[in-house]
Amino acid sequence: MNNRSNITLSLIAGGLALVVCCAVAGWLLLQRAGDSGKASAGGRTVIVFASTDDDGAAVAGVVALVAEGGTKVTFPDPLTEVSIPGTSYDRLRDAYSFGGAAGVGAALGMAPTDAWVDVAEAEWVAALAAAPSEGASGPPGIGVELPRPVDAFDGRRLVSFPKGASVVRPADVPLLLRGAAYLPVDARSGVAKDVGTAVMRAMAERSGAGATTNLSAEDVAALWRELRAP
Amino acid sequence: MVHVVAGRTRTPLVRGNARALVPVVVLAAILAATTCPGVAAAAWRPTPGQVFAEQLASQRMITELVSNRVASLYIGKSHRHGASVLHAPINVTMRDGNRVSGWLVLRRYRYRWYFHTITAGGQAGDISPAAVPEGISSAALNYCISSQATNQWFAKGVRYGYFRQLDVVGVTNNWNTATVQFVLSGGTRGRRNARMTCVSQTSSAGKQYWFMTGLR
Repeated sequence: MNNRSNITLSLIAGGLALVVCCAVAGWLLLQRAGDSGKASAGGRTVIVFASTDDDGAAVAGVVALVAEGGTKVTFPDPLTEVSIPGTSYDRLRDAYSFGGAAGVGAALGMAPTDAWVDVAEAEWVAALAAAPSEGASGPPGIGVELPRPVDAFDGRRLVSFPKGASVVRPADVPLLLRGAAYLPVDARSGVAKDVGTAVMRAMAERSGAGATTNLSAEDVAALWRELRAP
Repeated sequence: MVHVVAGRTRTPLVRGNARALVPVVVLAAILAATTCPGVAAAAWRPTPGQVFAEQLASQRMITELVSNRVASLYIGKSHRHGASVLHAPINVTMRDGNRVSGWLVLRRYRYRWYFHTITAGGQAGDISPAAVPEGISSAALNYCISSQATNQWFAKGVRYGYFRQLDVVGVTNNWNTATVQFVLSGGTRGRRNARMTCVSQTSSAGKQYWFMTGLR
């Protein structure tokens, strides 16, 4: 009688354990399915502000790598040599043509599930134009410092950016980025940082409106809030 | 001699023996129109099509300049034909030591001087008409025209010999641009720096063209 009771109890315990295990496994599976396509902003996020190259192809104009929840931002040189599988291109900015911001992230060694944000040129230029001026009463624009004059011709007008410190109008910033590609790497990095910081802040002011991303709505809102913080 | 036509009298404009000279005068005018640039230039206007043909004729020299293969140019004594054309012989020294002679021609329209051609060899100002290829915008050519408002000091310098020697200090390439830096000297005025930013555009067929703009 006791043996039968013990066996019965064991079977019941085993059955319950099996049910619990199945329930936990099922919950985990559902969680993973629910998370597919949604990256986490807890790791690194790549933000790409698009531009165009000499041939009119879409490229990454400014690349921002955001880490630690938005508290640490770096600006890799868009002309950094990278490997873009299946192509003969070897510059970071060209990865954009083959995969958008996600492609740029992949070229930087980020995982497919890492976060990316993609901002078309028209959107970030509009954000810059609407952003408050850097100075108390200065014109809208970005302050940059160039080691030598930079000229850029867009087929209609020639814009010359002078040597030294100047304020670049929002509409001229895309031309500055194209011309800055011809500067030495140190000067290019300086321009990328100045432009990238201003553009990111301008986009954060409008909570990233106009950008596409693989982040959840909650995560992207948190990201722009962090980037807007002084 | 008086002609009477239907009740009216007409007095010929040229009388007597002078009428024999009329064919000679007409022939001289035709020769002048076809050989004297001053007369032929009366109809010249800096339109996009005209400017393209001129800059196409100058492509060899412009390309040598923007590629930093020119070390210096010497501008000889200029000759003015009428009110609107300025020719000056040039001697170009290349960085590889070769020398090329040619012509610099400036033309005037509505009180402004414009680059016409800078060519190697040949006759001054000889160009052939050329169609603007697809992909070369009239906006770009109009920019070349309008930017030459800054050329007036240069035209004056060529005309009066303020400088003769243009040494190419360097060429800086940028987006669709090449800026040629010069030092001007050798004339009646002191040395001065100058620069010209040439702009480029590529036709739909893939050919890149360089265009001179203004000297500053």
